[in-house]
Amino acid sequence: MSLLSVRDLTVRFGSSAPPVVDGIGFSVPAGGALGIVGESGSGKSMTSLAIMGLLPPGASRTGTVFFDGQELTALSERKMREVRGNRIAMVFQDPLSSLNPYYTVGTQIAEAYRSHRSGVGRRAARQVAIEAMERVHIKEAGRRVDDYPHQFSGGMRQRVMIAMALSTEPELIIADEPTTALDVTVQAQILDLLAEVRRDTGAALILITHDLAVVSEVADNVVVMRHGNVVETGSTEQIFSDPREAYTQALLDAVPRIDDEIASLRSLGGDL
Amino acid sequence: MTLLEARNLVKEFAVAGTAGLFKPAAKFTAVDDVSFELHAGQTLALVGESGSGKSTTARLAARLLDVTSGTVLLDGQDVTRAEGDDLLRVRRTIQVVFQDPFSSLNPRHTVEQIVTAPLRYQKRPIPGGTRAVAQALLSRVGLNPDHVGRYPAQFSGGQAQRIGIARALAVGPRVLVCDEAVSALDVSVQAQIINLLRDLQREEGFGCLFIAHDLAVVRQIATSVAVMTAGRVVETGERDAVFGAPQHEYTRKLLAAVPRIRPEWEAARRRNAVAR
Amino acid sequence: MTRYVVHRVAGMLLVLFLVCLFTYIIFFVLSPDPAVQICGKNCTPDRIDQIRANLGLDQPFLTQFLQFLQGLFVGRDYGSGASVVHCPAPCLGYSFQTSQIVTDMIMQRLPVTAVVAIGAAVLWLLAGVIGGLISAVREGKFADRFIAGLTLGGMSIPNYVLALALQYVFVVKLQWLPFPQAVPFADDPAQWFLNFILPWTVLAIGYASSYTRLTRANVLDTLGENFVRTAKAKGLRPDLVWRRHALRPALTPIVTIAGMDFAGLLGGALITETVFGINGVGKLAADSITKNDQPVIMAVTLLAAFFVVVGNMAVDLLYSAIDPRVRVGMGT
Repeated sequence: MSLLSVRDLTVRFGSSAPPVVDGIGFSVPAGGALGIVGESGSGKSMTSLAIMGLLPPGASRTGTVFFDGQELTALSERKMREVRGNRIAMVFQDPLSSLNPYYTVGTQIAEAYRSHRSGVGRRAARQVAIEAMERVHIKEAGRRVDDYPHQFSGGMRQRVMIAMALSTEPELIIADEPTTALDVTVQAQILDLLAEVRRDTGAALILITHDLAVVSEVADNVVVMRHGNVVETGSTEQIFSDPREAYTQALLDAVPRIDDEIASLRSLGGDL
Repeated sequence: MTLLEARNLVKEFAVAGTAGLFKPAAKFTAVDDVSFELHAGQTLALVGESGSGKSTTARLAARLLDVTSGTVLLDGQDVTRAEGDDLLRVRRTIQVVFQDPFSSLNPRHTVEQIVTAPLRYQKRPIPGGTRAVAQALLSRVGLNPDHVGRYPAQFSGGQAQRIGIARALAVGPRVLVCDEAVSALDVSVQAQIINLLRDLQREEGFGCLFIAHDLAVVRQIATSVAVMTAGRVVETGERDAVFGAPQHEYTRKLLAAVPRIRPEWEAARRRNAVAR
Repeated sequence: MTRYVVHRVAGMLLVLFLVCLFTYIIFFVLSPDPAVQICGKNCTPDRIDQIRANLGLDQPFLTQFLQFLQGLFVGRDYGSGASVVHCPAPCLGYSFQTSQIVTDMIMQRLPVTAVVAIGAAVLWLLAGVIGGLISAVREGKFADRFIAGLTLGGMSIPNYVLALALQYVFVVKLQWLPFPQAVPFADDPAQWFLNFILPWTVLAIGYASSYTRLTRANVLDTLGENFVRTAKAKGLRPDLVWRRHALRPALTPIVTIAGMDFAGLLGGALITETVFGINGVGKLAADSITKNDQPVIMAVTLLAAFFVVVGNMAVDLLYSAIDPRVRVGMGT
């Protein structure tokens, strides 16, 4: 049985505007890694917010999301809060703006943990934060736990975000463009870290990105999205070696290769 | 003769908040002894990660920033401190395309005003009037010439970047500086703009200084590559040499970090595409 | 941190020195001869010369200015021989009108002005923050638009109109408040307090209006921040999301702006004090201007500048205490 299963999920702003996510469905097995790829405006980020029940004001959601046999879309806000950050954790794109500048990273990691474990004291939570930071390989975690986000580099901040996600031992981590704001060498480190975390904790991963090469390295299965629809779903190998849909083929043709100059990069007719 | 040459460029910035009442601020060296040569019809890519000084280097070469020390030569002439008419000549020869197309286009001007602005500012004759010139420029960058009366907000990101390129081309530059010009674009649009730049260069023969952090993009467009880190060029050479047999450890590390689609999947996909 | 404070204090002293210099130039060089003024109608050239000598006005400008500075820091003597008068530091001179020591005149009035400023600040902070929060929570709803209307009114109505209108309504017509009369706090605390209600309100309304708008804008901006989304994604209770992640970043800038506005008011609320007959620094300024009492004008100008500069610095230091981005990294 799959850990997460999304059916006919639709997100729209207002009743007359066309939906930004239009009746999509996919599933993630326990411990699996699903990549959702698409260009800007494909609805990939809205999909993750819809799963978490964190849509911006004015957006409405229909369809069902099942998580571990529970229908998330039918949960009360209070029940949903017990899932958020506890059984499903999120990692966002820009780690600097995603961390509160007024609190130490330790406080922010501990906050996630304490809000889901009753009766955890300040000191115990701090210890959890230090351990989480050690697990994401932040050196001198015992000292850096009291530092503020601005005192970390971009890659280290993203490690803090991942530590925060890890602290509650979630079954699913949704990472929305987790490496887009990072330099390529740092990106490689963060992708390695995510793989290590999955190996160690058995957590499933949904990786949302525009970068096809990143998806090809991380995911077992891929969902290709465009204009709020799922264009194609398949195993990563199938999507990259034998794409069935014209859009997927065109998208792959457009990717610039590092090991090859292509006479003319194929471009999609969407721009003009 | 070398079209554009940079010799030992150095740029220091004052570090904010370190200045005392009688003590000058601490210096941060953004560009540290950088030299390169750009020839007509060629594309030199400056690659590096954030903070490597690649954009600052480009801005120094384009005379958008003043050097702390070093020399910028245009057609063999020293233009490092060019002022007035001399600077105008530099501006006529070197044009820049920026990363974010929308923030570099005035939202209250029509496309016609935008793309002909460099001509008007440089008080150049406009043969056939601004409309005709603007229409010709739009067709050259693959936009509908009838859209000269539109405003930037009416275009998509890729189209806006084409407008930015049209504006740069207006004065017939011999050097085009592209500062992360395709970085903010979706992959399909990015491919279009790369193709456009390659085609335009073939037709016009301008030299292109291409600033990018994306090595795969650089691979598509560059003839030679300079790899920068911490304000210095650590490796420079022909594109295929740098990508195929990187000499410096940093270059190797950078190349190794780039995510790749498995070559066997790529090969299979090509076979399948042919079979279809 | 220490280095930073030393720098700030040095910068502050420089600014104050320049303010001194320019006020001195404006009031003692560019305005009419004070000796003629003091001398009055039955004046002889000899008498004018003597006054000039007593006040040190016969000296070159630089000497005069240095004497003025000397007075500020160590005190100075006026006149010579038997008629010498000592003016202790910080000496701001003698009033041309009352012959009192200007420093004493100001020190007598400063407490009242402080009471006016403190009361008004408490009122406007409470009203502004609460109003802004209601506006932000009810964004676009009736309460928000109603408050927006009120703040527009509050910001556009001039203080003297508001002061006179409120006085007419609450003192003359409704008689809910007694007619203001000067009573020391110790004699009749109730009357003393009632006296201040209208001035506090009048002063607070303008500030409260802009603070409401500021609070509303800051809270809405903060709610759109990514870290608020992170807090929600962690599964935090909404009250914690608000308290920790929305309010603190949203209200920090308001605290600091309040500090500066408060410091500005310590220099005297000219119009309000005059309208309500409060004998504070503001009224002193108004009176001295109408009587062209130059040493007093200059003193109140310097005082206002002093509070603004000191307030500015206090706010910067306060800001570095509450915003870790400023605090940490300054030592490096």
